[in-house]
Amino acid sequence: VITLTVNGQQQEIASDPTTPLLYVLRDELKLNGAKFGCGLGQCGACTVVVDGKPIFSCVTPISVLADREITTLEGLADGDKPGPLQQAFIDEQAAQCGYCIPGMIMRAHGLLQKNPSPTDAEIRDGMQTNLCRCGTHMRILRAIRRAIDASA
Amino acid sequence: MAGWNMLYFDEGRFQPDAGQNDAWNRGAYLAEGIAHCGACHTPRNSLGAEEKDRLYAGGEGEGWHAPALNGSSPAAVPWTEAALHDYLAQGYAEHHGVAAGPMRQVVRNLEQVDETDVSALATYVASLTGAPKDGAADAAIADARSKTYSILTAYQMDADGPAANGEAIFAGTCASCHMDGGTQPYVRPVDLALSSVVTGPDPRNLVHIIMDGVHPRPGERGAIMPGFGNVLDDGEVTRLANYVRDHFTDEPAWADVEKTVGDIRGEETAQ
Repeated sequence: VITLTVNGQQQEIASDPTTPLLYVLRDELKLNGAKFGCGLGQCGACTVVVDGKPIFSCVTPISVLADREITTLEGLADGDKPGPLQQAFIDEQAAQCGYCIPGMIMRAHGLLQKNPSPTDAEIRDGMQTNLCRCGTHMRILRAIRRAIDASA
Repeated sequence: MAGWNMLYFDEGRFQPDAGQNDAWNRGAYLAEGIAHCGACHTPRNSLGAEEKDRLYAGGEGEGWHAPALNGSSPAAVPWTEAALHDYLAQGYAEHHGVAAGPMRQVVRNLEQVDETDVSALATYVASLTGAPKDGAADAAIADARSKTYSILTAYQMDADGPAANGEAIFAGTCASCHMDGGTQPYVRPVDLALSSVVTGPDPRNLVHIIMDGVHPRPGERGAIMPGFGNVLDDGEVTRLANYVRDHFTDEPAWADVEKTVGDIRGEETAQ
């Protein structure tokens, strides 16, 4: 049994230690924010934040996550309301199909943890690993900028 | 400096070898006089001079190991002129893998170079390695196939305990791409048993790649691998690297992998 700390809550997980975190989040903990996209760590739909850094949960086995702080999209909420970064994505209508958006928000959250006031170039560089097939990249960039400006 | 020059600096112009053809001489001129392949691929002595009696025996550049290009090349499938041409021109050769680390920049620079010059470099470097033995390539490919990580391998694993061994980490982080069968990424990765990163004498390149991954230029297609430095701690990277070395090669274990991991982590944190 591996104890995971997800959004501040301890969870005892009996799954095989090699199980990807994504499957445990979705299937065991019913946290369906993170999405399965490619399963290869190439698209970013599964991104969550571990100890302040964005990671691909589809290629991260739970065996390496004991004693680490895992934050998922659900952990960004402000009570029953969206948190500031989530609200900025809503205000910019950054979702088209929306499948990539949880990963985009978590990638941006990780970026802002490390660098609260990035330049536009640093945002583009930090978001490079996450893909959107609808093409709302420009709105996603605007949403991140909006969240930064709102917190300044 | 004058003393160093007296010991190690040879003034002079490139002299063609009349016993070789034009392509070889052009390649030798480019490799020695312009590209300075030996600056990384030849070991240096304690004063930082290239060891002339160990030309192309393997050296280092920018914290990466530069594999030997001479007869001691660690490549499982011997390099050929054609494979070297692919590698230098495209940054990828079947049975060898992708150019990573400082060699990526070399390949990008070569994109600006005339095609005949890239061919000449391949001709010259192939002559350093020497002609491969008959059947060596087929034997290496068959051997790599016997070491392939498959779903069956994963089922037989004893994965009890948190990251008890490197194989449990491999199964969870690497196997989805580096496995026979299953989903494959856009560019199928080279068999790990054939990669000089795994068969070579120095663990640095594998540690760099595990921690930072392999990324195409923004907006371009190409080989891609996520880095795991954000999620694996030093001990986990060490166990994973040791497992990969043990499972995919018959070579002895690397020494001091944990120190290598710590050094590379330190360089990255400092950046």
